[in-house]
Amino acid sequence: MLTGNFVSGRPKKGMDKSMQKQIQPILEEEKFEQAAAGIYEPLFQILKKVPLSLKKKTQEIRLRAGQPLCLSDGRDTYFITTDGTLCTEDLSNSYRVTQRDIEMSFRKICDYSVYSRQQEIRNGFITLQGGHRAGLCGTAVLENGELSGIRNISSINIRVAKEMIGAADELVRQVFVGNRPCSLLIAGPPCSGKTTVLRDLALQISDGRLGRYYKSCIIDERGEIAAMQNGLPQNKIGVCSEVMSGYKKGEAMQIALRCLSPDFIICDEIGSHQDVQAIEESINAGVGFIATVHSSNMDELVKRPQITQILQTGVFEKIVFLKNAACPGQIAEIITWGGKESNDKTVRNGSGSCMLVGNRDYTGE
Amino acid sequence: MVLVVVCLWGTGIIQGNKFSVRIKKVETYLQLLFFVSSEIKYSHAPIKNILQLACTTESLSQAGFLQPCLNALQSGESLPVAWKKGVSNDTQGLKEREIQALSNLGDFLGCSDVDNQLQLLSQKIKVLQECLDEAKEEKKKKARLYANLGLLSGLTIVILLW
Repeated sequence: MLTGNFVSGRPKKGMDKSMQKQIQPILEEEKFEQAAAGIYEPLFQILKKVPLSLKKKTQEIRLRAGQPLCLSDGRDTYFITTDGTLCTEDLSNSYRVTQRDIEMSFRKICDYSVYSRQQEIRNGFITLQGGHRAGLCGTAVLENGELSGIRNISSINIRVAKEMIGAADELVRQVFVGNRPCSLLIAGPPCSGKTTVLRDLALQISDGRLGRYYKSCIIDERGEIAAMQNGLPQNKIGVCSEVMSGYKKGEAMQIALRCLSPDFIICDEIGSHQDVQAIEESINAGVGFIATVHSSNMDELVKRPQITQILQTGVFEKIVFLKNAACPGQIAEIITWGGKESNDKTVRNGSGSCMLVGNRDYTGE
Repeated sequence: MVLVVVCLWGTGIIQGNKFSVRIKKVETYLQLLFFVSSEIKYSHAPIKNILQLACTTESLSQAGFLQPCLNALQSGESLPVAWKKGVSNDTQGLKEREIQALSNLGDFLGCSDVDNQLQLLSQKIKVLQECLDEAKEEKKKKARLYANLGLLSGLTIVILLW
């Protein structure tokens, strides 16, 4: 028996504008400062002085030992002087990052607990509070021929996370006919906005914006989607999402299927043999898959044996290709591929070539 | 006359009790290091989270070191600096060897992988264990001696005044 107040309500499909206004992303300059706060305090103090206009558009903060501290907006690079002013050229008064700056920044990024980030260090980057990503570069430490860590860190690249509420609107409109979500593979080159779109898609699916609240299980192996910190997601991922952070995708899929009964499993950057195996084992379980993959076009995609293998299973009903880093999040091409309602429709590919993937004929238009 | 005897005897007892303070503190630090060690081994949690958790544990929350260290961490200080601040805030009753061992720990804590961290902590635990044994021995030898000396001094003064 239900006790207390039960308030009935519709999903947010017909949400009015005043409600929509409440869903505002964190200000971009705040995102910048949040990302910069991850690094060594003296550098953070310099970065605080950066003009607001650049804070808003900064995509990367780059620290290289012995080189000037610089920011990148995806197109141009700006060098910062000790008083926080910007130059488009490396001048003598540019702030030179020291080895100590790098070392202390690394320790701070690791919360002064390197052991707690060992797995992430092996992956090459560490997720910071707010979902920002610190890429590490140094000398590899190998153990039994496998990467076990990094020493003599020489550069750190902090990518400022851009949480774009509404980034998947166009995709939802074009792909989810009648607001019915389907299994989907989002492909695109690096920095094309795959994760941003995926994150917003997760939000839309599990937050009732597609007509109902779908239960989604986000497998966040590298902490880029939900950016969990102390058990709380740093990004908006919807009220009906479960986040499995740090799990291997294969293991997580099995656990999710057994214990979480999701409508959709959402994961980033599939492509390994284990991923293929896990997806193969999970098909016909009545669960939809939404995943991303690195690939600029169909030609590149089908050249990857693991991806071809996944496509052959027919698990993905549609493949969406995003444009490049210059227009992040924008759709370049949608291909209807497989799935239950597939009519094996073929759609154009850039090269105009004709390919046979498994038993599917992929013909250029 | 009775007051003089009681005062000096009391002073002796208080001096003797200082050994107990040292023992209690070293025991608390040992308990804290065991706690940090097991949390690192089990949960791989960052040091800050472990210290926050320790603060909520009744027996460890008494450690005067914890709160100043956490406050410094929260204000953006690095772990070595925050750790030293915490230790320097809680040195009363401790000997130089213990202070040194605890202060140095902050420089290396969180710098390496789990195995090395556990080794480091076990080394510090060993040092503190030796200090604890020494403190217990010292207390056994000297605590009663100080009390008796206080009483005897009081009685001597009374006799002289008489």
